[in-house]
Amino acid sequence: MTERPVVDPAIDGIARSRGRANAGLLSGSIAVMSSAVLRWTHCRGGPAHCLARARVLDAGPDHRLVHAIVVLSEVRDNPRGRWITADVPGVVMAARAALLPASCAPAAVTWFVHHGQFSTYDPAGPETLTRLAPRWDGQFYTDDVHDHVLLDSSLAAGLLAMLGLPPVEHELRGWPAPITVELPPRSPAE
Amino acid sequence: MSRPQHQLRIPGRAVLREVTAAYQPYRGAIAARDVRVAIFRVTPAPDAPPERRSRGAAAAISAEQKVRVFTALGATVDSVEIPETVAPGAFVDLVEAANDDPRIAAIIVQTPLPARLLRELDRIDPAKDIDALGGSSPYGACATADGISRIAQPFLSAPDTKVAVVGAHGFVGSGVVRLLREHGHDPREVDLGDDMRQLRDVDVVISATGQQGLLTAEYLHPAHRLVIDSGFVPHSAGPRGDVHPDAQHLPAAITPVPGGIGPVEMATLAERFTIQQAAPDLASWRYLGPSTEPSDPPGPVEPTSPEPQLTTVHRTVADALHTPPTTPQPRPVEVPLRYTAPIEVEPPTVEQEHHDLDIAFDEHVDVGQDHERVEVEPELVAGVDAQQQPERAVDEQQADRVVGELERVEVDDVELAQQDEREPERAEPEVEQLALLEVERDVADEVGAQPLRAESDPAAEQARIDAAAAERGRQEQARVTLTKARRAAEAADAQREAREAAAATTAALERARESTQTALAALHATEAERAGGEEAERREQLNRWHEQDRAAEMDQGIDHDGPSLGMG
Repeated sequence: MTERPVVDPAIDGIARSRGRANAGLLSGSIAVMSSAVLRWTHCRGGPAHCLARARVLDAGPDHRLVHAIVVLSEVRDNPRGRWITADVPGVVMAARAALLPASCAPAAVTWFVHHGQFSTYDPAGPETLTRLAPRWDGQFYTDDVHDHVLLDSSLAAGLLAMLGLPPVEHELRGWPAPITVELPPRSPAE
Repeated sequence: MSRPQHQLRIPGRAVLREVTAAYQPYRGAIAARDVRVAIFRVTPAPDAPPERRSRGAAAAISAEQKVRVFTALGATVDSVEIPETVAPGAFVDLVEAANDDPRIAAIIVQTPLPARLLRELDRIDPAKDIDALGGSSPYGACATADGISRIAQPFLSAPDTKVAVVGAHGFVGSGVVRLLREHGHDPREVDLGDDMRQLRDVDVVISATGQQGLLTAEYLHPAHRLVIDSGFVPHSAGPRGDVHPDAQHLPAAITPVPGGIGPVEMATLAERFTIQQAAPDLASWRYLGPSTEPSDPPGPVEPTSPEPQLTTVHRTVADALHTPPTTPQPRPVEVPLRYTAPIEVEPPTVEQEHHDLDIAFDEHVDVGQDHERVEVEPELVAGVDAQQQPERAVDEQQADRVVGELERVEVDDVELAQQDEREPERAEPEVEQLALLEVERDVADEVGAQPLRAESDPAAEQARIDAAAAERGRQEQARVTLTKARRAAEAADAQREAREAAAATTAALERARESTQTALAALHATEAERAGGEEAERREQLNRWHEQDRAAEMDQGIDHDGPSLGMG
């Protein structure tokens, strides 16, 4: 039952490279930084919202290989029960529509859900990043909790710093109102 | 800070003890089902910050209490520790395995839970979610919130009573708010960012933040009728709650930490489990609060008192056994005299009060002694209508007998509670009282007997006297037996407290040792870093000087490596 958090080699490489002689590489690789308080209609009914922050990375010399990392932070004033991880397809669709360029292919996006004390009014435990793995069938996203991977704490901290994500509370102060995204019809399987 | 004589401390442990005793009749039925309770507890990593480790220790204590309570009710408990690095899928598999296991009747996940796993609580089978952790639980709030609400109710009965819930947006606090609203109250919600000074304007403060020492003397005062503190954080000087130790003496009534809301939560869980397993129509236990009789003010309950007053809690148990009012039906019970009491009373002495209290407590165990009879037809306790539920139908005469027995005990409890106020000792029935019963028909009905007549014949009167004497003997025997049981329970409490104190001390020593080691390591690291930095800086400075000297020499045409071009 005790599982060592699995490390994504690509993410591990990016995160662990921080602090070495590659600051220029990193600053040059993040092409777009965008964030929003995202509101979508939760699959359980009613509106839900989260803080969504995207970093679009230009990888490759011809700048044609676009990869994006999106961090979805669960915030405490989101209604209880309408969790991000309870509607991954919905929030992923909303975030893609609001934050990512259309040229960014579904398979080229790495998704994380971010939890911490900002996520609940109760004691929340450690700050964590969990990598999601929504599957795109060409029309809809699907999600399986067994594909979710908890990142090692040091790796998560490194990744958050590398992506230049300020603390959630600081970021939220700059958002007077959420961005609402109207979602297309869901998959019948949901 | 010493506690004033007038302060009432809500006796949570006594509530739990009495509720558990009251549900003992169902133990056999539950044990016969061979049901299990799964308790999952996420444990913090060994290198977690002290605050998280403290919460982990508190969760461990709470889980241990739950194990005891469910075991006492006849269930088998599977207590599972889960590391906080558990993969989401693995946690879900655990929950779903418990859902699918027909032997597991209830699933409890100990809080606080890492935020990333909260969503998975919704996966708990609602039929097994007796702590209302998921969104589909049939219960309106978690057991802690439910218990808090019950403790608060007697203090909220006065019109225009103002109540505030601190931590109102949290899991427990939001449940309390919801339940209070259901009872017609309008609690003031206080949470992060709100001005805590508004607490001074309310009559009842309920705190469910888990932030130790949050409520200081700045926010509390003697005019607070009740402060409910649901916090519990282990501390080297004893567990701490939300109320700061320097402010604990201020309110008129308070739930102590430990021994307040924690046991009340357990009592609520015990009730829910008993209802789920053996008595679907059993009414909830209810806390009736301190006595409102002018002659019986809420007296001090000193911790050093050898015989704490249990009258209030006793009423709780009486209420626990009390079913919703049904149409009274007089039944031919042969010994109604035991419900009478003399009219002339004298102020009870301390010893006599204790005597009565012992009897009162023993009555609950007496219910347990009717074990077989009650466990066979537990539904009868709750007054199940046999016609509406034919599968539970039993012989009507037998049902009357069982219900009559239980009602007799129930009325015993009420009457004994009244005797605490008016009767120093048991006495022979007197004519005045019989006349009173005759006039008050409802009283006779509630007793479950035919109205008594003052003009009874001598033979019947003698029979009644004999029966009363026999009943007194039975009660005395029960009193002795159950006094032993109660003292054993108190001794167990004392032992547990001693164990907890020892564990807290050990934990404090361990923390101190670790802190010292951490500080030493940090000191060494800082020293090494500083030494390394100084050495590097010195070398760098030397290099700079060397380069400067070399540059100056070059400017002056000095070349140590060969003859200067400018020379000669």
